[in-house]
Amino acid sequence: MTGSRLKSDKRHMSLRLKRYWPAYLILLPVVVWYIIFCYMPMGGLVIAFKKYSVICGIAASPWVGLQNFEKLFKSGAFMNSVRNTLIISGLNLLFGFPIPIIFALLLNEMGCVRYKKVVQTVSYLPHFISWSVAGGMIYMLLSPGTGVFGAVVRAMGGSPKNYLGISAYFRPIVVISAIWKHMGWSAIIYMAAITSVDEELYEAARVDGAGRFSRMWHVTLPGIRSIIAIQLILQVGQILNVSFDQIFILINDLTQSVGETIDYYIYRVGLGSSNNFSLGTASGLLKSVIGLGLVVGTNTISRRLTDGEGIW
Amino acid sequence: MKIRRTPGERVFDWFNNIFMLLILVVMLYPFWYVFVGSFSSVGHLIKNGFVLWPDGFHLDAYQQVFRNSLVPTAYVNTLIVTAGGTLISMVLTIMGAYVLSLRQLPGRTGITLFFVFTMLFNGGLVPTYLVVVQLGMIDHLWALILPGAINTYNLILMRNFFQSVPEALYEAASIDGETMLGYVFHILLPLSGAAIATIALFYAVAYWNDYFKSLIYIRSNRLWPMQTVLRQVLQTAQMNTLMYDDSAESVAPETLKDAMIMVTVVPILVVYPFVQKYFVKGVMVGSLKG
Amino acid sequence: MKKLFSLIMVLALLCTVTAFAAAEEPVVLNVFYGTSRPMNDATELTHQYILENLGVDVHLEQGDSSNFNQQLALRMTDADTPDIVWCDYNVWKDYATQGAWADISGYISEEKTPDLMKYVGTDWVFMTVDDEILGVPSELSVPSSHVVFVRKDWLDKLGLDVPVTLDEFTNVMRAFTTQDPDGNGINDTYGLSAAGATYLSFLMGAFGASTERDNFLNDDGTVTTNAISPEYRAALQYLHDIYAEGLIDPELFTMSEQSQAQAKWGRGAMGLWSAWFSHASNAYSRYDFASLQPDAVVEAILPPVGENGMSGNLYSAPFTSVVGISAKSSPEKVEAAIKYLNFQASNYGFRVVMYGVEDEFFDWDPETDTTTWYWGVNDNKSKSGKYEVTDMEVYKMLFHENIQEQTNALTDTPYSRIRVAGSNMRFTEPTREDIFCMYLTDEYVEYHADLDNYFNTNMLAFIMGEKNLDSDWDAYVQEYLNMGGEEERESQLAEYNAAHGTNATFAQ
Repeated sequence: MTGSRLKSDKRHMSLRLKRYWPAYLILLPVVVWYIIFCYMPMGGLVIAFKKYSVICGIAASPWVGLQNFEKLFKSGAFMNSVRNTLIISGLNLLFGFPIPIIFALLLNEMGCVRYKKVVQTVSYLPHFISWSVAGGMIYMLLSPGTGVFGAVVRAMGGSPKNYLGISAYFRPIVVISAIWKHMGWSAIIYMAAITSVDEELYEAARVDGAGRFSRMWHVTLPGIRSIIAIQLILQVGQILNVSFDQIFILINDLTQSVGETIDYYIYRVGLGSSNNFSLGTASGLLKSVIGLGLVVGTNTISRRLTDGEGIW
Repeated sequence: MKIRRTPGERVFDWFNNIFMLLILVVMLYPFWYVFVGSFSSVGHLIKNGFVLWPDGFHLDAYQQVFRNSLVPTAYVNTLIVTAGGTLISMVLTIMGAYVLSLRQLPGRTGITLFFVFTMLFNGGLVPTYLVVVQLGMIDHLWALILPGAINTYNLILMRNFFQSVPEALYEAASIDGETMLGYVFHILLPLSGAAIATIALFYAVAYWNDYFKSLIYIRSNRLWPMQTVLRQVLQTAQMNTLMYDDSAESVAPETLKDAMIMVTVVPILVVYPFVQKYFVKGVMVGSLKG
Repeated sequence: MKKLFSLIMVLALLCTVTAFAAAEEPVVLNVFYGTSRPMNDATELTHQYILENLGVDVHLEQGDSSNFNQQLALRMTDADTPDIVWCDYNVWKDYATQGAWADISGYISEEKTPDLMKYVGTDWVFMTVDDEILGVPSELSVPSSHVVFVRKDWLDKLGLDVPVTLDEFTNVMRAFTTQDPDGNGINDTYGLSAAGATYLSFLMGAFGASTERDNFLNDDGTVTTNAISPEYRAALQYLHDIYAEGLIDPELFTMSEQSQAQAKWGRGAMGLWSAWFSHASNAYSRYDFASLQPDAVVEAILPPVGENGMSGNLYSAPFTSVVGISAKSSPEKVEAAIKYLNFQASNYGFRVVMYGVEDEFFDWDPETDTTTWYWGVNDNKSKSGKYEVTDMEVYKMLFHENIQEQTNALTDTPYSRIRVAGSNMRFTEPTREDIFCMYLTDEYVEYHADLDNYFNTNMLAFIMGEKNLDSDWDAYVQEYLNMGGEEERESQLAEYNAAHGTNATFAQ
């Protein structure tokens, strides 16, 4: 292609600049926005190395070096919360990531257009129910006395347990409820991507005698490959962020040891001493650095595996 | 088009349809429950737990929401912020995404990293607030729009959609005398209906649901959006049922929470079919190539 | 000369007039607090009353209860911080160490602010940092807020008396669990349920313990740390036994919201309910408990008495929130703020900020100190019928627990009966005072989050049998002290001794 030849040729740099100068002009407002709303506040990250006082302000607050980080690493509860976050996020990624893709593929295979539209519309409804309400429903569902789940267990001759109070069940409950809540919504982006798969490719596959599954596997999936790659990379970067609201509503003292995430830990520690901005910023910075590493890593792997698909 | 199906495919269709029915029930029931709850009496919900039908047609919860004198202005504010915000967001996102989709653009990787970096690192609450203060946006609806105008995640997704449009189209267009902006408006955007509809939906829902920005940037309640007013309704209900308890141990009626969800979700439900319209196959790149 | 004199006289007069007029100019006070209450025509009357009688123009800025600390932190970074901030005690304390509050010691005295002095009493000591008084506590003045409710109709049906001793309580719980008190033929009831383990404190009290990390003062002057005391251990053993026997609802430990326990009560799932004092009455107002459980007779009862005669429900701190005045406010504003708070502290002023203005929203007989209050009667309209009476408390920052309940006994309904009974029980039932609860030392701030967590999770582990009291107790105590518990309690004891001029030590 002409592209690779141009890229290797330094002399054409000026040519490319000349050709693309309007692009930079278009980009200018976007870059200005990023500078004002993202990069200017970023100086505030220094409070991770300070004992931040609201009254003194960011600049005048005293430096404490790495004290905030030491405090985090010294706390067994924090390290435990890191572990929990990684496990819950890992499970979310393992199950929560592929399921919307599979759902979108199956949805795409549905014959009846009206039925398909209804399913799709309904499937994203849970996205709009807040965790505090969803949590109340999960509680009702799993309550051994009055819950539907308990009734089923009882009908099968078992005796229902208090599932929300058993630590072994906590993470599955979190992962399953997150899938339930976000599956339909996450599938929207794949549905949109599927519409841009070239119809001619399906025709060609059909002519070649490819069946439904073969077309799904060889045409649809590769067609949305780049969106899948992007989604995966971005999700891996967010691996240390588990929905705070969800944990907050589902956790209790019985499941704290397996359920407390980083954000929940920071909330719990900050609760007693007005606002622990410095500690929160320090933990946020840690999450960011790890997230950056993971994004760079997955991006590199993705580019190798998919012939150049990545965020950059 | 009707194509003959193999027996295996027919079995698959059957299973798929039944599976989707299952999904339909699992996804719909909670919402149905909220819907029923909003029209039920609290006693009905307490007594029966999982209910299938309301016990009559109680409008108390809705009355409690709409009795709040701020509701009309709040709806207007939310509409302004959602419509205006989505427009601004889409313009900025499309501009950024289009430029990043140009594979030959010098400095492309650097600019992408410049954007992506902000997804992982942000200055936090206080410094962002100080910037908004310095811009003089406190107590203006602008404060609800501009600080969150670009979502980098959406921008990257949009870029990917644009990348699937061949750059050759631009070359052809520029030979025809189209400028870059002209190409974006006349060729690229019409080709990216599904992507634009999806990303616009993402932005609109984010603006619609946001309450935190108004909590910290808006002081006068006539500028409050819907979500903030609904929070006030809920908190007031907690106070009223307690009358003098001033504690965190407060309880608001379930029916009120349900009605509030309905008030927020129904407008989005109304909008969604318009978005779905764009998820139609066949109008895309392929058909244009020939 | 004469002309000059008269000129001077006129000028002087003018000056006095303008000075007088200036004094009449109302002082604007910006008030920021963390609850959201609607303001309307009815509350505007209160605003006008305060403006006319105190010369203070109060501008309210309301925060969101669940995000208030963040909102406050941002407002405190502003150039125009609010003049008056009403926040939690620990938040106030944190800002106090940063120098955010004005010293009010020069503005308060028996002569100038008698009502405020009477209201706060000896609690000024907690407001004092380096000899400066930096805030006004919002006094709760109730010993406890937790109350035990019982289904008296179930007791009668099973031929049982209202339980008094711990053994009687255990027997009642057993009967409620096994003898089908609701008569539906199914064993689906529990002796006791509640929204969280902290509501088990009334049982722990019979052993001289509680469900919190309290410190108790003993008769001999020594101090017992509940978390590691033999009394607490004995209480855990008891709770473990009744839990294993199935007398308490296992969901008690996992309920995340009060409404869940209230729903169970509405379904008649338990016979004893340890709850917030108002929740039994709320069941009537929120979801018509009377029609769900038509036979129910509910009573508020005293917590059980243990073998050593000990008894007590969970203790309430003397105050949990504080009103601070910004250090950036001018002396005039500080003075006006104190005047405003003094008004709220008075018996009459409290009624105005609580119910609305006199004659329209309440009548007051100062002789007998009784209030006739127009809420819940008159179709929720004010006396003249011009205003709807909803939540009138937008201007209230100082609580007056003692006064309020006298007004509630207006009509004799199940609601108001249990409302008053629950409320009064708070003052009658015994509690075990946590003597360190107001000493938020640096060590406390440093360690409390981890200690709270460790204490709570272990309490449940012991009760539910995941940990064994015989084999795991000593290791638990050692770990508790090692992870900061020792430093924390020593620092609090030092501060306590300094404040009281005592020389208390910890019990062995």
